[in-house]
Amino acid sequence: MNARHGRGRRALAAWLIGALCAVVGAAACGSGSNPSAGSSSGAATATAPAQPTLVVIGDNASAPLDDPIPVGQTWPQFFFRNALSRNTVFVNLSVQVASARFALQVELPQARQLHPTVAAILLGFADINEGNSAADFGRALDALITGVRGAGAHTVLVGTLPHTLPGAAPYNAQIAAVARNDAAVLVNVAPLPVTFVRNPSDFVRVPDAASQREIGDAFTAAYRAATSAPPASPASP
Amino acid sequence: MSWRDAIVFAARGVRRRIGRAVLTVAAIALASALLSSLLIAGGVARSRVLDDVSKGGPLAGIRVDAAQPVVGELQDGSGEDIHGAPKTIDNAAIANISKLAEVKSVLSVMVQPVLVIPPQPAVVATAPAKVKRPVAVSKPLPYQDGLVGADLTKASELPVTPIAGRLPQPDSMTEVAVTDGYLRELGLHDNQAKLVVGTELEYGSAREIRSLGAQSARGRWVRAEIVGVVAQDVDSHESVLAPIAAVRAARAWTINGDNPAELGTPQSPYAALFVVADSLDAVPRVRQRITTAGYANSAPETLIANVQRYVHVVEIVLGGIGLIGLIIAALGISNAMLAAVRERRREIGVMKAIGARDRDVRRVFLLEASFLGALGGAVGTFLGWGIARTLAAVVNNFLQSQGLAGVGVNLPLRVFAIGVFGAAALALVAGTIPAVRAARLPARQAMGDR
Repeated sequence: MNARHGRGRRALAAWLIGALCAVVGAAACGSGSNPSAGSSSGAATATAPAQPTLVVIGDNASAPLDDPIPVGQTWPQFFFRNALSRNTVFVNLSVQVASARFALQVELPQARQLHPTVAAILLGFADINEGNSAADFGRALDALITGVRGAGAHTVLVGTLPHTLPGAAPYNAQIAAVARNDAAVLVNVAPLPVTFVRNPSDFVRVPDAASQREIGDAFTAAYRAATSAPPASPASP
Repeated sequence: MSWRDAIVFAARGVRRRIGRAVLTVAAIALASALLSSLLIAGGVARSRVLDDVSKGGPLAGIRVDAAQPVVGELQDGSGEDIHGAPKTIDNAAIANISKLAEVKSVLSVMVQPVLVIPPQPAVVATAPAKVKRPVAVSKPLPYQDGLVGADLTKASELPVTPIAGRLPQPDSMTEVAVTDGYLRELGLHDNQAKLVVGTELEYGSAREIRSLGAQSARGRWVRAEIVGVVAQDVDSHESVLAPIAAVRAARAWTINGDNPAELGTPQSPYAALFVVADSLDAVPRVRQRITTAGYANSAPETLIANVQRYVHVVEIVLGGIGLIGLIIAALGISNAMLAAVRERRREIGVMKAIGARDRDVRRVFLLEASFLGALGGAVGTFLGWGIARTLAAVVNNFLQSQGLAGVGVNLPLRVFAIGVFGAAALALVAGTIPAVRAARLPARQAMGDR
């Protein structure tokens, strides 16, 4: 009987110690893991998918000056922001004091390289300043539109000059005629109350901030009417 | 006596003394809740601290910079950047580093200087309606920044943690995440990160086109939706994170221009690499190999190893405290079972008189004890999880008010197993002495006591 009890006690003691060790061990040892993770890889090889491209061809009224008009508040930037789909890429090729002839020679070759899907043109401010003939202006504009179409632009928008600009009328007649002949979208900037500010660095007059927005809105409205495009996105301001 | 009979007897014993059983289960449950909540809290603290040290990336991560190594760099395990002269990281370099021993993966990072135009007008216009506090932002101006690109299919390998929203889709050209640097540009505080999620920014990379005349830089503008805010910077001076394809396109625009170096575009196609070693122990050896390959690198491996050691000590202490609670509860079970043996002497005597052996009686009492322990353990583990979640909610509120990433609480399987099986095992241990005492009770003595 005693022997039986002795064996029982020893077995019980061993069992108790074993069970206790199991519990303590589980609590202490199972308390962490190394979250290092990852899969082997080399250099990322993702490439950019083809995106629609907007180019703007213009003069001092459209050039990204940043002074006095911040770069984000020029009319091409408003147009890009409000009219085009979010995946569109935008390049503003406008050059200050660029006549239509200059744009044809300098801006168009750059535009061709970009294979634009949409092109917006606003020229004439510099031509009026330089006193170029409206007919020459019209011919250069016609060549420009043909050029961007050849580069792939399916929509070409051409803006008229604001009536507040002295001497704009003959140019606007040319712009309207060229747009009609080349099936471009005519953007009627003429009736807008565009006012000007002087760029302090080179004394060129440019539409002020409010006018930039109005011109941008006019281009946006014309583009939407021509393409029946919905507003760019709910998130855009 | 069969197992089935033993279970029936044990269940009957519990049912007859339901009040005592409930109190015993409650004691075990409370102790188990303490243990599991401490283990969960310890695990959360561990991952939070290590995330902070590794900036959300893998612990065995090494940053390789487009620069030559300098003397003493390998002795530094703090993760601080120590650079030599610039050195190009190209695809060949990536291939070489990928082939090094104990390298698990290599993730490349591109950086492109851009001009960023924040939302116009101010963010407040698109802020959620529930945000009552006005946001002091008016006409934020464009600013120079860096666009950081990485293969976001492997986002877990990057040292970034979203504090609001999410990371951009890996193949998206119109989604970006921003860092707290962007918030500061807008005059926002870190705790207002949610305000910018869903808004849109524009970024432009510049190209020099000399034929355009004096003002020859032209931007390639892209609109992108901000889908998230990340707590840490991939690169401390850059505040916009995009999929690598978007950054590659921006960089291509610049480097195909007339004078890319003048526009601040780095010569190296890749600004940095994130190399993940096979393990934390392998990090020093991999760093040595990368240094031999000629590249500056940094990793906080010493810091991480020290933190891991300290955190493990804390976890053991917390587990020990919980275990003490559980042992005290087990003593309660033992006490309750001893009382039950005393009360049920006649019943034990009857069982033995009709042929039950010692082991049959022992089995009934052990079953009863382990059932009470397992039930208390399960209830307590879920209770502990609830406590940990409540605490985490309070902590998250504080962290988010500080603009920091919150903590996630889940119930790890090991904690559940420790809670349930640990409590059952301890109850079994605690019930052993009463069970043995009941088993050894002679039938005659048990009956005669009456």
